[in-house]
Amino acid sequence: VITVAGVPLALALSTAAGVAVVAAALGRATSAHEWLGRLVLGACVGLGGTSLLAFAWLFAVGGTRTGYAITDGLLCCVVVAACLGFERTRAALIPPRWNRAELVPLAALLVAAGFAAWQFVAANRLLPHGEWDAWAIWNFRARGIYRAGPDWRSAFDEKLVATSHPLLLSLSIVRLWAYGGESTLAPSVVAGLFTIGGPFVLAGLVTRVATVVAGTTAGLLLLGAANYQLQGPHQFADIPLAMFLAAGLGVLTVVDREPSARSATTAAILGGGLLGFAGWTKTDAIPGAVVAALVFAAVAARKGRGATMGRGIAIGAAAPALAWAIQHVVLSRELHAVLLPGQKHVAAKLIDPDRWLGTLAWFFEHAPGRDVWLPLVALGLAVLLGVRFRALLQSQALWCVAAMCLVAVLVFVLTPWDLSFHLLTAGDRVLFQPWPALLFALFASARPGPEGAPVPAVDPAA
Amino acid sequence: MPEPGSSPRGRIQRSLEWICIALALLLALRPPLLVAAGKTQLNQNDISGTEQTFALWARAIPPDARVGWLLPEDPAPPAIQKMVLISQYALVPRRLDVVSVARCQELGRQACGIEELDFAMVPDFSEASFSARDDAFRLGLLRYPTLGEIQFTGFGALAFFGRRRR
Repeated sequence: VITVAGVPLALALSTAAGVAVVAAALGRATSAHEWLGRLVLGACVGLGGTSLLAFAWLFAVGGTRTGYAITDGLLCCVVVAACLGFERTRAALIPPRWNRAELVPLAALLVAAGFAAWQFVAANRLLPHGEWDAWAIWNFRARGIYRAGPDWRSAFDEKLVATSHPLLLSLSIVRLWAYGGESTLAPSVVAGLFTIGGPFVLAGLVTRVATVVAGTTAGLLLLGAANYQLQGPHQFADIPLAMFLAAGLGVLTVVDREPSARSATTAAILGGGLLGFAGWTKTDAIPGAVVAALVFAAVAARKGRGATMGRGIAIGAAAPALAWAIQHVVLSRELHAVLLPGQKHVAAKLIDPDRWLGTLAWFFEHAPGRDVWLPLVALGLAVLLGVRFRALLQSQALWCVAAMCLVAVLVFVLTPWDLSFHLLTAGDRVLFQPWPALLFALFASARPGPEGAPVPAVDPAA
Repeated sequence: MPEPGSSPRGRIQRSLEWICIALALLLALRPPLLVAAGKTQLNQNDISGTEQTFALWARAIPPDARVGWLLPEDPAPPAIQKMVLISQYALVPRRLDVVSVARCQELGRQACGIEELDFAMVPDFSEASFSARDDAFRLGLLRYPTLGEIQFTGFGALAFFGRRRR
């Protein structure tokens, strides 16, 4: 009973805080898609924010038993109350006026998400502890911290596996356990939120900058990759990482369309926070997040908004980045291993055509939804929805995705392990990291037809 | 002002949008429908049974104890390595050290790390581990004080002894 009541309570509190923060940052939603997407994005932001609080609590107080859940719940309520103090937040929480044109796209998204949820539950019953990386890294670390109580630092004993992995997921699970007791429900709920909620986040962000149809198509295509739906119940970190990166790019794209410097700053802070959460989920995300921050700041600088964008991203990413640094310097003491991973023969590997061709060929064969040529289908549908190649080439988000893909290829070209083994064990997961961001970049450039609805470029509440 | 989509160009645009949503919906429904039809198998690589077996040990071992796995083969086969990780997952926060019997034979009890342990286990679910257990027993790495302390699990016997240092 405690588990069944505690996990939803914990999730509801963090979601309320996250939704309030997202509403304060982005202002009023212009469509039901966007409103729904923000609800899910708020739940993800809530988990990220409360994981930082849990991290601070561990250092300040110790284990997550006594008083932690009460403090966490109270702080969530304080965040909600503080955000509701702004008129912008209150206006943003009101659902937008119902638009009949959205009915069918929204129904399509809900039906697809319903089927995906059914598959998730069925698969989760077969894998309650998730797959290798889930039980050997994320859930393992959560158990170590939760069970050890005041001796939580023992979870970072150097003899244990992979102590250098960041803690967003593990501490989110610890938090749910602090409310509802240890169970396999908590990690499943966290994985389910990102897997089933991801398409709504993507649809909402694309709708914000393009059209409802483009947003719906992007969300549906995310579910169209069979390995996305199969990987979700594995409880890996790659889907949450991918969602944070895509949401970060989406929110930073919105910054460009904010009418005032103040609203642009708040949106940039949220965008920076999302990129920071991606790195706080898994270190793999950091190169992509840094590239995204640099690209958006550079392009904004050309438009005279560089300071707004740069400051906003830095403020938003500061807390997750600080937590990441503290973990690697103080707890796991593996910063050198992350920064200087003991690469040997770098130059020889870089100029070895076999490694490049082998990696690229493997990526080509295992691309998300490769069995139905999904990347090409996505490109074709984007063109049908009015995307033009010139607009794509000018898309900041697409340049960021290209950089993420290059980093993914380099990871394998330079891998210190056997290339085939590394590709076989990690290739499909790494390939998935830029996939939602790629869908965002493709469909964000869609434009309505000659008589379609105008692009919601201006926040009505601002 | 004409209704949206009333002009020929607008109707074409509207049709294209319907096609996009319909095609994307079909693609999104395809993975769960393939599972429902039995064309795609869900991953059944569950560790629950193994994890529960090792979790039984967690009840008997104090949280601050150091537990050792006496590895019969060095290096251990992948299946045993996975079993070590699952047992660590089940026993956490107890620290699990892997101790090679061969290393103990070569370097002695002090150097191989067995003296640091509070508890030790020997996996007994492969043919090779029987001889390794015997080796460990002969070397005095293991003791079987009473029959009651040899626990039977899903994999066979796990020899188990405890000698708390603190």
